[in-house]
This record gives sequence, C-alpha cells and structure tokens, in this order.
Amino acid sequence: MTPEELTSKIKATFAEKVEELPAVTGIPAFKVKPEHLEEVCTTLVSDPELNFDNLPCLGGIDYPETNEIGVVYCLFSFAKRHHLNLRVIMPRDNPEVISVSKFWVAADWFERETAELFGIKFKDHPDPRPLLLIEEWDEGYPMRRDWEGKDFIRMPETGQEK
Amino acid sequence: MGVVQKVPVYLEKIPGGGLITTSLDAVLNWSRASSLWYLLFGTACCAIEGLMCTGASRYDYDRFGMIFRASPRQADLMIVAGTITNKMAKRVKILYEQMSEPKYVIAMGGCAIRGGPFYYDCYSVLRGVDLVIPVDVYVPGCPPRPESILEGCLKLQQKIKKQKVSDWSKTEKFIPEPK
Ligand code: SF4
Repeated sequence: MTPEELTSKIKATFAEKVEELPAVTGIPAFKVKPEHLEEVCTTLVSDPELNFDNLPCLGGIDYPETNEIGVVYCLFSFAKRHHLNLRVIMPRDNPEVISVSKFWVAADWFERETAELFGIKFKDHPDPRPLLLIEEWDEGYPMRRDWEGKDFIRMPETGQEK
Repeated sequence: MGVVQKVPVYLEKIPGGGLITTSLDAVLNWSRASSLWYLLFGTACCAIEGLMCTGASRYDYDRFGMIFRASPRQADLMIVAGTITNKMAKRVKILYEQMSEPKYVIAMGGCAIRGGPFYYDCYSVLRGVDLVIPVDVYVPGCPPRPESILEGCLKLQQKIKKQKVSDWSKTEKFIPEPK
C-alpha cells in the first residue's frame, strides 16, 4: 500500500480512535490513546490488508514541558511492504501501557529497555526484568530529560549550541 | 646469533663453540618484551582499529611477537580498546585478575583514557579504565591510528626492558577498588 492509501485505510478502520500526526520521512504517523492500543494492534496484525508482521523499533519519548511521556512504535509489513508509526502519549507520573509483545515478539526486549530507561510500565509483560543498566542501579530513569545522577556531568554551555 | 645482537652479552670463543655470559634480567626482559600475547578483547569502535586492522597483514602485530589469545589465562597484555561502561567495568576487572603475572595494560583511545566523547551527559560510561585497573601505556586518539598503537606497544616494550628480577617480589601493583 502507498502511504496515502494506508493513511485513509487506517482512518476508515479506526475512526476517532486514532489521530493523525504529521508524517515523518513519508511514513504515516498516528497518535493512539493507551486504552485503545490493544484493539488497534489486534486489527493491525490480523487485518489481511494491513498485515503488520514486524516491529523493527520501539522506544520512549519524553516531553517535560507538557509533563507527558510517550512510546513510539515503528511498524513494518514484510508481506505488504509498508511502514507505520504509532505514538502513545501518557501523563508523566506513573505512565502505564499494555505490552505489545503478544503481537510482536521483538517488543519483549525493547519494552524492557524502555521500561528501565524511561520508567514506563508495560502491563502483562512476560519477563519484566531490567535489561541494560548495572545490576544495582537505583538512580531513577536516565533517559528522562531532567534526570541527574550521582556521576552525571552536564555539558557546560559554550554558547555554540544553536 | 640473534640473541647476541639484542641483549648485552660477554662472548668468549672456545674450541668447538663459544661461551656466552649475560644477566638474567636482560634475557628474561628480552623474551618477555618480544612475546607480548594480547587478550582478544574489544568493546567498541577502537577494537576495529586497534585489534583487527593492526592485527591484519598491513600493520601486523606479529612482527613484534604479539599474538592474540582468546583467553585471559594465556595473555600478558590487555589492550583496552573501546568504551568501558559501568556495567563492563566489573568484567574488565575480573578479566584483568584472571591474567597471570606479569601483566600489562594499554588504554587505547579517548574512551578508555577518560570517557572520550561520553564524558558529558552520559549515565553509563566509566570515565577512564584506570579507575578499575592499573594502566601502563595510554594511547590517545578517537580512534588512534594503527601506527600510534604500535608506537604504544614499542613504548611498553621499552618499559618491560627496564624491569629487574629483584623487583618482582616488591611489585605489589596498585589495584583500585571499583566504584
Ligand atoms: S575513543 Fe573513539 S573510536 Fe575509540 S571507542 Fe571511544 S568513541 Fe570509539
């Protein structure tokens, strides 16, 4: 499917459950509410025309200005050769979203990483252990923008940033 | 007669051969410096340059008698090639302790020396491998060219050649505590 066809197909299928975002590098992007994610993912996987069989990337995204935090899902279909980005935005304190590892197995480790670095809880995750940080880590969630740890050294302002 | 050119000797010809007198220090240091087997251990981009490119035929560690070993038990030299994260730091220390004495360490690249490009704004990188193990030679660069790391190896050979057998019992090396 071309990106335009995909956009109209998604809009027709999910109606007001999704909200269109500006496409990045030609890939259609949609915002999904956390409570609709399970239903949206089920359709994305099972619908024979959409057929999203692969999750190449899943990551966190932090917006301290609006006190929101999000998860980005980059989807790809080997069968139909089209891409789609989904974004789930949640309030920053105690964010929680369902685990999509029952739809895409690759999400297992991505979600472990995101949970540990951003502090996002993934409900019903099959193996919710930490993945990357040192074993005795207790300094919070380092990929949040306002994080500061014991050994953290912030880059001094040089006046050349912009 | 290679030995005669490399170490200071006293040579006396006797019928049917010759007698060589030399010091134990000279012979031991010469043999150690010429057979620095290094641990095959790379953690980031520097490993491409320092272990693979320099180990391949264009630059060639073998010229200095340096052969890679895949086990710390057989290695004399650890070339710390690459970024050491806090999580890896403990493993580096274990690998270092598994190597048998005498052992030497070359810290290669900005990362192993002081955290390199990850010094600022980073939550996971150890700022210098000398915080966990003692380092003999520092080779700066990001990454250092193969010529620099070979120069570092030659510097280490010079250092080894100055050691004395009588110092062995005294060489209690400083081993820092991990953070
Ligand atoms: S010093 Fe540079 S080349 Fe070497 S490991 Fe660090 S970032 Fe990579």
